[in-house]
Amino acid sequence: MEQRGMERSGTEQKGTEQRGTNLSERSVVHDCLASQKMINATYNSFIEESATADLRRDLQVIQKQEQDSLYRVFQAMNQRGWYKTQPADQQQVSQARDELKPMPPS
Amino acid sequence: MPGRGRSFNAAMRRRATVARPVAGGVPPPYCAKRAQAGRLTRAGRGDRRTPGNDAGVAPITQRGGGHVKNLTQREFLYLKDTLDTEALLVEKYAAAANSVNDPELKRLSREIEQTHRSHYQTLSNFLGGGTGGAEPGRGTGTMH
Repeated sequence: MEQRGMERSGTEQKGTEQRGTNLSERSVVHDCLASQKMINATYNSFIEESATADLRRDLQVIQKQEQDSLYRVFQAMNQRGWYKTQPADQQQVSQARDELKPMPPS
Repeated sequence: MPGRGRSFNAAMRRRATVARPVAGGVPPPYCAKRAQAGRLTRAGRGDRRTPGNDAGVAPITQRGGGHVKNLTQREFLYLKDTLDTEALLVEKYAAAANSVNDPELKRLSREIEQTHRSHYQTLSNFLGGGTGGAEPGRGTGTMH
């Protein structure tokens, strides 16, 4: 993975010229990620506004698939070091835990 | 640009009927049956109502998959927008698959392209089975 990542960044410029596009491989995948987020939001609103049962059911199935696609694109980026994640600050987590308010009795 | 949607629909339909069986390794879309049903009812699209002419108060009544569907106006408007977006994403992932060299990314792009294609089919069934005015032989160049 590491080697591949380095190779990519090194040949990015040349590669884009050969492919006849202005986007690097990394940017293409990033654009896909952004698109998946966008369409996910669209389906979210669509389902909120949906009143017809069978349409709503299909939309929910589709949205699940869109979310799965989004995750696959994210994973592809993450594996190549194009989308790095950071673990949560443990000190802040424990502080937040200490400050949790008790729920009112039900 | 107004003619683009129609041409694209024609292209989508052609690919759905011609190209899909060739795509090996791609799981069949969950809506394959309904998409098929939609295609079968398309012959009668002449007597389909034009959704755009509805006043917006009464639910839109349409035929799809062999039975009548009632959409609200709001659903119809969302449906139109979402169809356009799915069509755009089919193009986008096709372009992505062509532009990347990494075989894994290529495969991923092709697979997601197929899911968007099946979503387009599923959604178009709610417009009454057909995907709109057929103009075969026009505008296929926009696809690839």
